[in-house]
Amino acid sequence: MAQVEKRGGLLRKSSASKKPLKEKVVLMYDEIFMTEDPSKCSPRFWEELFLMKVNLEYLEGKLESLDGEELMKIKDNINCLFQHCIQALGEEHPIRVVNALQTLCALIRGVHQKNKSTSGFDIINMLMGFDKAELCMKNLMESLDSLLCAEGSESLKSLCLKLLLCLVTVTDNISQNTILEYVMINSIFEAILQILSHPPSRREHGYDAVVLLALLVNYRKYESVNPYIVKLSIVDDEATLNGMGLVIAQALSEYNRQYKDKEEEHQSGFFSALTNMVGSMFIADAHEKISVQTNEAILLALYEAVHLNRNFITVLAQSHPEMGLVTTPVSPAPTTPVTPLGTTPPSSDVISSVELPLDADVQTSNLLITFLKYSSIVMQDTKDEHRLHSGKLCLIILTCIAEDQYANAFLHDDNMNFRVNLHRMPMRHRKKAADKNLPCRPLVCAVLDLMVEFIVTHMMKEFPMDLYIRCIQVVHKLLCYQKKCRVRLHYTWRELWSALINLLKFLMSNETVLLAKHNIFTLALMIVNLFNMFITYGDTFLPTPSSYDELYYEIIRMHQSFDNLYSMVLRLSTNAGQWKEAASKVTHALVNIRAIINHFNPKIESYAAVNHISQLSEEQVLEVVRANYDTLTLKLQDGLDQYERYSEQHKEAAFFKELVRSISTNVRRNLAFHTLSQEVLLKEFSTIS
Amino acid sequence: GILFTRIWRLFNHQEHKVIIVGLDNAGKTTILYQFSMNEVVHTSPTIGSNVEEIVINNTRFLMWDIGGQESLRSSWNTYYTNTEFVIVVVDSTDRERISVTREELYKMLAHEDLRKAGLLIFANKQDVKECMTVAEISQFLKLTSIKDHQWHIQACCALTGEGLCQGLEWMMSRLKIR
Repeated sequence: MAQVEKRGGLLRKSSASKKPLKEKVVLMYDEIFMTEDPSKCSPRFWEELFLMKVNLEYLEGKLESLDGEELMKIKDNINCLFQHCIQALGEEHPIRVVNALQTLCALIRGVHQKNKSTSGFDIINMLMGFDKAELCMKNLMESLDSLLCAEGSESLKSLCLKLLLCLVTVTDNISQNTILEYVMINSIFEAILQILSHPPSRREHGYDAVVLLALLVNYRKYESVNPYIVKLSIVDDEATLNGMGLVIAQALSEYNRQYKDKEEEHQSGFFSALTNMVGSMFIADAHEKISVQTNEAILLALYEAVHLNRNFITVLAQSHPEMGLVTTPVSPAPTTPVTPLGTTPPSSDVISSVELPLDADVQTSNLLITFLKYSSIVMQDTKDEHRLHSGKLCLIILTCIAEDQYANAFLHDDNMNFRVNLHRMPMRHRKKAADKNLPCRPLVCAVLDLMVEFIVTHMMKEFPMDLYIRCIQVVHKLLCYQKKCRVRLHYTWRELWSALINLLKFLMSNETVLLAKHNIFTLALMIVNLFNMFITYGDTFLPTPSSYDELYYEIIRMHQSFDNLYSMVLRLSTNAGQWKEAASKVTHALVNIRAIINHFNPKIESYAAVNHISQLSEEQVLEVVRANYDTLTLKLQDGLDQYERYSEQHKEAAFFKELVRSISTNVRRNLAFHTLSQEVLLKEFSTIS
Repeated sequence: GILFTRIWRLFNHQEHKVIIVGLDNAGKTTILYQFSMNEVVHTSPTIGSNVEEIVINNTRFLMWDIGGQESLRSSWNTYYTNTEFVIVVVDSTDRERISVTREELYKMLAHEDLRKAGLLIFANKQDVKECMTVAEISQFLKLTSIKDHQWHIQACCALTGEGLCQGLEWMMSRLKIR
């Protein structure tokens, strides 16, 4: 009964025998909602208030129910409550601190819910009053900072982070949250770093700390100098960066694990048994149902770290010390149910104590591998908005990585070989590749595999043009590095070539549908230029002379596709339509490919005629190719190995704004503040023994 | 054996009567409802009494919270029959009236009906700075001179609930010994 009536603060309904009982704290809230100073009649009002368990629902609900005008009438008391909360944060009595933290959350949320339409300034005035706001927020941030950095209770720290997350996500658009101006001035960056650099606190709070940091970095990112951006970009402490990397790796691998579990569950399920009997034709549909909620917040954190901090690149390749080693010190299990949290990130801190089961490649895993696997899962299906966001962000991160000299160095390092199990979408015409017999290769091979995989699996009516462009750019940037550094990578380039040609074929056969929405010539030009890159510089980075021959073989074999492309772009560039210019660029780019086809095809035909063979074998074609290189003339094309570097500011601003908005909403939704049960509270915070 | 368990069970299921006394505004009613529903309720001076049943690990206590104003203290003795525990709640901030509490305490202990009762003293309002400590209160109340009753003093803060469990635990431990 007490539970039912809790919201109203009524603990027991009146009955004949017993008089109704009301929660004391609720009556005290009611006094705050009067215009008179509550401490007038009871001088110990504020001292007593924070001794009592907070009734979040009531306080928040009450604030919500008042409109702006009504709130203005009681502004003095609200200001007073806010100030006393902050004052209570400095108290010795930890129960007061806990209650004050929770009251602050309720206050901040309650005021915002009602004031959706009002400006951030009104909210600051409502909570603190303009005249006192600066000092108030300074005190608040200092208190939170010292609570986070002190050798104190873990659940207290967790509450501090929750409060900060609550503050940061209270508006949909983070940049409109004017209170954050004070969080910029009174930085808690150092406290976040400290949490990340100490393994015990990282295990407990790393997730929240990383998400908080990622969000703070996105406050008025493009308009003003955000100190969190500046500070994050110059962090060079190894322990801190590694800590951050670990938190991200754990969250991502938790996702991968959950996905794998679901997938296995699915495969052993009845449905799949049935479809196996019918034939595997439904598997693709069944597969779509496996969806684990993506974690854009953590991905955003990874992006910001990679994008802003040059030193973080080294962390990508750092093998996980904790996940791989069996000798992990058996850390004292975090005192079990103390966490008053309530945030349920899809992958939570829980995994931190329970180390991941060693699967085939965990022993030598690193953040980059985990990220690649994650990408391979997320990019499979880009239909819903979250996955599209995630997929795009994955590709952006890969773009940044592919541009970085150091990252490329270890991606291409022959001494750092890994076996990376990427997820492959089961499709009608192919079986799921066996995981076991994957070779150990430099990491760049996995990146290329991932790109090839993306190319072949997304040729659909709802064409993800933007993702395709990014994907081709990643490949291009990797090739530029290989060309520049003369790295001869042992990779089965043929798969990439045939994927690219298939993509061209797809573009052509869906010309009318696609042209209605996209400029397909940009993409076509990029693909053709990739081939030009191979043709012009292949001798410097292809692994063997024979792979260069294979390139010619592939082009000649698929000459029909290039011929068709040429006639299409020629047609569009000669009539005066809107695609004239774009199409004519492709026409020019095709010059060498056409030269190759026109040079070798007659030779092959005459070879066949002379030897009376109707169908030449690959070997025979290659023989003709090798014999006729010297008479082939190619044009030197400029700028094939040049690219425009990634820049967030102008092109991507809209995307990140939208992404951060969706992350904010998500974090806010998962941020459930439970009133701590008295038992838990007393167990941890009682000062009386 | 069967007979024994039966008797034991019978014994176990019986309710233990507890009275909560102390001067007015000591926090008796707040403590009672912290026990019975783990909540701080709004209280007004008790006229007469409140009674609640509290069950802890199958042990049932019937707790009577009796008004503490001066005019009501004379009627405390009507509640004494069959009382197994007396909880005296002391307002640790009220130095002036601790002697009144002492007087009332010894008056009670002398009463025939409370001859066998255990005595639990809650030194309440420990959250207030400069309140009396448990040691000070013991001294003022001369607790060490009490030889014919089991007694225990426990610091507490009724608003947070701190210390209350420890008090109950002491009562439970007394029951086990008997």
